[in-house]
Amino acid sequence: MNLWIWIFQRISAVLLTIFLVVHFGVMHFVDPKVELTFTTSSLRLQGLLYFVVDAGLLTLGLFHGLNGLRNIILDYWPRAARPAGWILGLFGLGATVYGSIALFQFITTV
Amino acid sequence: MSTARGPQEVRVYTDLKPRHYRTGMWSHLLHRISGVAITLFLCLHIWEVTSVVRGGTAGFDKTVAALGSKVFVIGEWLLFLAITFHGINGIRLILHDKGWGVRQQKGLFWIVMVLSAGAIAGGSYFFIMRFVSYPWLR
Repeated sequence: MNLWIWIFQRISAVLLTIFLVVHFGVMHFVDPKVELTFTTSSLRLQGLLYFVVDAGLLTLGLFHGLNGLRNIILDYWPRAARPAGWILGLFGLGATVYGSIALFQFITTV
Repeated sequence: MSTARGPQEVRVYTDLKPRHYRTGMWSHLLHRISGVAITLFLCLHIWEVTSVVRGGTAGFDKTVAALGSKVFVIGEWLLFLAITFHGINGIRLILHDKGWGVRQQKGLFWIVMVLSAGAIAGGSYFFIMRFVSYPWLR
């Protein structure tokens, strides 16, 4: 299990780097002058590429970041890593669901 | 003090002595600090975007407008520094995991720093423009 988590931390890292270049690049370097509103954001998210990128950043970003926190706890306080892993995992799951609800509002609300 | 906890205390102790750090330790520390910062930002960012769930489209517009001030441009720039370094250094770490360039880790870390500095120098133009002539709209 821990090996798979370790491997997935690397896989998500590679994907996140690619997704972040798109997400951060579009927001700050390609379209830096676009005013952020629900309308402009939902127009962007109607595009499949941008939707996949944002959905990927939400799920993989949460996994990668929270697992990173778990790795730190594992280093300094290994005995707390198991309960902390559960708490972080549940938090990540909740945040993914909550974020997905928001993401779908952007593509369903016209 | 129990002996079982010994090694870990030694580790925390050395971690707290920057005088003894060498390149690898600085890389490790920078990677962690930037990682924690990005995770914290991600949580706040999710809170920001999910305002659409709590307050509808008007709620989202209100939240985004409230977060669209000059101060936040600095915050976004700091985030840019963190993700640039974390991403480029992360590529180096994965290559090391694959067994590539482990012996050259010190030199490669400095290459990571130079590449990060280059990307940051290039990207900073956009942040400076937005900061100086805020909100830099047409």
